[in-house]
Amino acid sequence: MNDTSDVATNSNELQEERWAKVAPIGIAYFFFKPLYLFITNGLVYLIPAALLQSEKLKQHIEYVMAGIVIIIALFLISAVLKYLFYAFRLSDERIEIRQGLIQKSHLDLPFEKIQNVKIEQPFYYRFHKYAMVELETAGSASKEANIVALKLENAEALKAKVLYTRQASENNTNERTDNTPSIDDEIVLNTRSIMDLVIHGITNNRIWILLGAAAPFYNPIVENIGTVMEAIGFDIAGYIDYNSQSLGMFVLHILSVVMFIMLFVVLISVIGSIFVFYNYRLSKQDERYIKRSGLITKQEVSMKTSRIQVATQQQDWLDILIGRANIKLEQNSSGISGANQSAQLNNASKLIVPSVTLSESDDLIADVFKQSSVNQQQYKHVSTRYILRLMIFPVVPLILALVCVAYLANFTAIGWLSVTFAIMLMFGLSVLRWFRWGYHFSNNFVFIRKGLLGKNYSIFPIQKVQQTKYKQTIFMRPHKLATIQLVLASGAHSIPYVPDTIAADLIDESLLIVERDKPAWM
Amino acid sequence: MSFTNNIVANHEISLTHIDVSSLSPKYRKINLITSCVFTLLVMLIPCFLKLEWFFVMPTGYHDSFYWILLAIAILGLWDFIYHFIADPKKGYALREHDLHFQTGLIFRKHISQPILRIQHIEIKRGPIERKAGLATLQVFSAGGAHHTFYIPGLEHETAIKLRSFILDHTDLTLDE
Repeated sequence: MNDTSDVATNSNELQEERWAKVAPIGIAYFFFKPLYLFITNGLVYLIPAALLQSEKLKQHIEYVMAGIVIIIALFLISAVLKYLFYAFRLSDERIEIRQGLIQKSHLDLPFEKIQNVKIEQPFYYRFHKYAMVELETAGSASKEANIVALKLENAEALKAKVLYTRQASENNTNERTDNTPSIDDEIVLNTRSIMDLVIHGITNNRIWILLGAAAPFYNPIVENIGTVMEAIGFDIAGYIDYNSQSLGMFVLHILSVVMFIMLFVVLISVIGSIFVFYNYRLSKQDERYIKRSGLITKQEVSMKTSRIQVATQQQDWLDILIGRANIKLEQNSSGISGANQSAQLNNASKLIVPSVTLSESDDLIADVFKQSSVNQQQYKHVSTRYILRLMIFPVVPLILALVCVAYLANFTAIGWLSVTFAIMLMFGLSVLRWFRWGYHFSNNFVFIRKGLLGKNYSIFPIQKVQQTKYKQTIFMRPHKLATIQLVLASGAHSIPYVPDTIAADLIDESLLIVERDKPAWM
Repeated sequence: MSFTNNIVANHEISLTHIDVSSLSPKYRKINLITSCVFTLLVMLIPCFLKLEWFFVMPTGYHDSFYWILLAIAILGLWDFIYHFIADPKKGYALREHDLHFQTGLIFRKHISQPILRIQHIEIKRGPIERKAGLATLQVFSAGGAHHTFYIPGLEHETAIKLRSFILDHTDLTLDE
């Protein structure tokens, strides 16, 4: 292993055709990542047990501390070993990664198989201008192909090399000059200011970004919140004591506490939004979108235009009021496991542009698909029988359950009044749900509008279809209605209760286009 | 490359005009038998509990014993009737460029899978299927696990023929 001693210098780090080690800062990665997973996936669930036994734990605090030290030491040793047994080798068209002490693995990854190159800078790399390169393949999500520590500029160079090689092989050109594209060739499509991110935090619940990270600290927060409140002269018990004040005052107090909590939640959400999207920049370079953002952990995700399966414009009711929308560009996600939200945000299979104005949204979608605005299409409504369907399920069962509860609990007149109100609300929502559904087909693109209080628009080219489903219940058949489902690599899209001739035509058309023109979906 | 589907009139290539071949009659027979056996096995559980060999059951259990059996029997019968009526309605079709599968009794569904989009293909046979000489053809696309296309109840030879037709199809090498 002597030949790898000089790797940390820039010139040798990316030298080809020999096994190289990453910089020693890689140990930090091997230490923090498993530790983080250990805490968030395992230790968090032990908090309730620890709470129950807190007295005992306090008595034996020295053992607890010793345990923590031992665990950290174990993680540290494992990190050093992992680092020592980690090496990678670059050649002209592939990268190999060798790792593992007990279970050795050897990953051989040709550049053509790499779908995405993600450069990530966790906080512990930021001070030394190091970065981690994550190579995402189209197929399996389980196989991790990370080069854990490279100098930032080498990471960029590697990315350019991978992408450039792929492009060259795709275009079948023989000119392999060394003028790999640099940041200067990029056209910036969109940037987000702090103000935009504040709006995004208010309109979208990004609270879990921090809640997820703060999970290990719930216990001390909850334990100490009372003390802190008392210290600043806030007497909760007295504040919400029903007996010592009039009903009106009591309700007012409850309301103000709720408001206070809401304000706090929104504040956390805003901070979370800034964490993830700080310094957001979306740019385009050679048929490829590149997204950069992040306050503490910087992220760079790039996505090839041709791989985008669908573009979605999402608006909550609050977004509609202030005229903002989130844009989501999705690519193949069939191999990606884990449905938790924070993974989704960081997931390179989806590229999110947070809280853009509608005209910016139009520009972006026009850039992606060369199609006009999703907001100005002539959408056709689905059949009104869809409202009836919503009544049968889930509205009527819900109403029955509600009435049963009200009856069994001997509701007062006010109780029954609110039940009636809830029933009317459900009817109203069913109609609204129907009203939101809309579809439009043009230039071999499918436009779908749906939502309830909010509005979501999706647009995708028919040529990306993987599979089609034509669904018709025996209740729909006499009314010549059918439900279309088009399956893309990023997920399925349905249009319910459309005339069955339209459904059959659209499916025939999709099959014809896919089978005759044989368009690539990746 | 010439594409022969072009010369066919549009209404003739519509999915509403596809003649599907039905599955092997053995498929329904197997399902009906499994349904009966499974129901009887499930009914044995309350009977076993009734004997109180290991546990003492609450008195309410003995009162409602026959109701429990009846409920299981009704569910079993429902399953039996469903397979009796719905299984013959299942069918598949293979066109030049796509595979189709029709299923459902109340909720009818017609699934179409272009051969171009197929990632890989598997023949799956459980112990009962092997005994009966049947097989299930599974076709995977990039649409993900929820949308795996499958045709159950095929004669084993038919499944093999279908598989080799798909594997030999020129489209399969085009799409990555």
